[in-house]
Amino acid sequence: MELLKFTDKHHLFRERLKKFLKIRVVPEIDRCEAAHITPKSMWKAMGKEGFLCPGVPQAYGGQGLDFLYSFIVWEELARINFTGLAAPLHSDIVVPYIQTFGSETLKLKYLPKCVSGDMITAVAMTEPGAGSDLASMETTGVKEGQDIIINGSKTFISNGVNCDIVVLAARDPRTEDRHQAISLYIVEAGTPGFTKGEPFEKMGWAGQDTAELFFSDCKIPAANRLGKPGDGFLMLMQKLQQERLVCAAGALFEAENILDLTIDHCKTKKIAGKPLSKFQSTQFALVEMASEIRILRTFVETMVVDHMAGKQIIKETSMAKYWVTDMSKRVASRCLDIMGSDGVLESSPLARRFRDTRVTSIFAGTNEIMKGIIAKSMGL
Amino acid sequence: MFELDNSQKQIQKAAWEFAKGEFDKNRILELEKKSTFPESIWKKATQLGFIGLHFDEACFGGGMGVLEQLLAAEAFCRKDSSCGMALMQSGFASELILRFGRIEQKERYLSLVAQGLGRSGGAFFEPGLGYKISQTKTLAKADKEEWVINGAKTRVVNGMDAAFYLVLCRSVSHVDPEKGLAVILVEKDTPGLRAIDSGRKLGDTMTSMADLVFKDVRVPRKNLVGINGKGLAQVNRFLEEAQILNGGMALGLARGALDRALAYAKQREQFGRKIALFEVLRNKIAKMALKIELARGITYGAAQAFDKEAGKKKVLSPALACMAMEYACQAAEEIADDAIQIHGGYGYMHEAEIEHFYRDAKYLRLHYSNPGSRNKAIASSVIGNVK
Repeated sequence: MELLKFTDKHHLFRERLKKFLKIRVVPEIDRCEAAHITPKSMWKAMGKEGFLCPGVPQAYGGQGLDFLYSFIVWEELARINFTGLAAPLHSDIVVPYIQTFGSETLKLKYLPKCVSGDMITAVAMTEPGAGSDLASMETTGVKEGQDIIINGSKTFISNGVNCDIVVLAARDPRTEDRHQAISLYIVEAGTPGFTKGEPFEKMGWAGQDTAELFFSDCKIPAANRLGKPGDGFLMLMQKLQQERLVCAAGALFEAENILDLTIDHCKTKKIAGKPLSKFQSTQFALVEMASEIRILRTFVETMVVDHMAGKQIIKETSMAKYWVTDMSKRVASRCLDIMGSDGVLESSPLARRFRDTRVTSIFAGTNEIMKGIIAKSMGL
Repeated sequence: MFELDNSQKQIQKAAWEFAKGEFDKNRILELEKKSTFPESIWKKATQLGFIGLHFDEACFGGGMGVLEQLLAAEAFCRKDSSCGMALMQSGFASELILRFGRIEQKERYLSLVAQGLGRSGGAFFEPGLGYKISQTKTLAKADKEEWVINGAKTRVVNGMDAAFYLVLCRSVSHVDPEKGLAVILVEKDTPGLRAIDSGRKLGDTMTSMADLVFKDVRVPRKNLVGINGKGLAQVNRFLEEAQILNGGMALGLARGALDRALAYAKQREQFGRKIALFEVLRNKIAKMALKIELARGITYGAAQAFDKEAGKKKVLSPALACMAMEYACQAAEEIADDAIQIHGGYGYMHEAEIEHFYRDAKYLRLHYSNPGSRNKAIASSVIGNVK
């Protein structure tokens, strides 16, 4: 049964995207990985072709397309084995905060540029002392007249160097309840008092800039707040369903890609004249992985349908984020075991996959946090 | 619990003290990033006798066994897996000379390795043959007083910077192709020998790897190591020894990963308490510690068995080395993986060290055998002939 109803328009969009990635992005991957950053020109090219924020309404410069277009972008980006161009983060995790919670003025000001790729976005929640425990964040946003003064620092921020605007979580120190103290703000790069660190050296996602952000008496207009004061935590919670869905789907596509690479390898690689794929143990291993991936695809696609129908599926998306990201790590490791010494050179695509996929069970809420959330929703 | 004797305990302590003193974190992170061999640390390690603990004393070795070497590997890799692996493999495959070589070969080449004047490379695998070395195609033809070698090797450890290589060649035509092989020593810079860098690897990045191409490479007949025709058995015996060492490196790596996870969990606070107090994390630590004890048992046991059997014709425990590597490497990967998870986002950063432990663990697990090939060997040994 086809859960996702792709139309001819979707297919055309996918074909156009595939071609674009092949011509414009794939030849640049190695350079981006070495530089630890993806050039802004690539983002602009994505925007120009309509591959960023496909869901943003036409009134704000977008195309007002359905969520399946986002799904197509995630899938095709995963197929080229490149995490540097973090378009899903921009289009489907950060920009929705502005789209849903921003004032009309903010939406008119920022959304068209997010769509065109002239503005790259980041979301800044994590702090050196506040990772899983978000409520313990120390970055403050204090209202003074018509301004907000921001102080503190954020870490492990994806798109941290490239970002032109940041959706920042900061707390009002005058509010005692830590959950009710948090508000979200848009901070533009270049605002005095806002500085960015150097990109981190990471195990994977090397083409993607992850950095620390520093705020020292950084003054922004109070009008840059998203939603009402103190609603930050609620807004974050509301958007996490989609974030987890993006992560689960991304990990699923990665696993599919890893398995495809491995199957190709096993069919062509011969040991003493016999293709690896003809050995029973290889066959069973590949079958076991293919089965798990197929089952999880059904789960993820079901969630996409429910999510598009506006259903509350925070429990299910948390389950998927945990299970699928763990699965993609297992698949990467097991496929390397099958490939053996052929897979462990960096010139093999699998080595990069192995490094890249490891972060997915950590970012966007560790899988331990996911299990805590699921436990709560199960009434435990 | 495995009981070490006093001299073994001393080796263990000395190696740990050396690693603590010489493995500077920032320097190591830099070397790891640049895939560079830890030249100065290696020199010091050789001066203190840590390289070639199992070589004869006459060749500047320690006159000890594989178990002592394993203890040093464990200590080094615990402090840093990448640096430890580079040091412990600096004499890679020179055991072929140690076990099968002539006295002059030992004096010349083992002394070189033990004194830190040169490193050795092992050239056993060939493109397209996977881990199957019995089908070696590289040809060594006897021509008067020389061997003339033609062929290609791949995955040569220390391939770019070895002073000499031990090369498995087909040297005699025999009805049984497994009996037509020989190990021949080839010095670097021999005309006709070309090394092609394999580039950066997923792990073990401080050790170089290369493909070697032999085109009419001429070496003296006396460069034959061991017996002409017995090359396969010799290399298999060496690989057994190397698997035990891999197990030891994996064990050290696992301990280093646990050290780091513990240190982090005891200082990191989330939700108002140290994360070392969370039940699930404690369970994870418990399992990590359990796996380390099991890995220690099997690797020490395999090393001891190897030392007892050294020199004897009949090998009592052919699959033990394989089992030791299989279990210790599996444990190391799982433990390094858990340690990253305990570190959270910080664990994914290069500066946290644990990320390269994880890459090294995965690499080590596929180092000249993979779980599939090891399972096959263990099954053959357990099942025997089926009528």
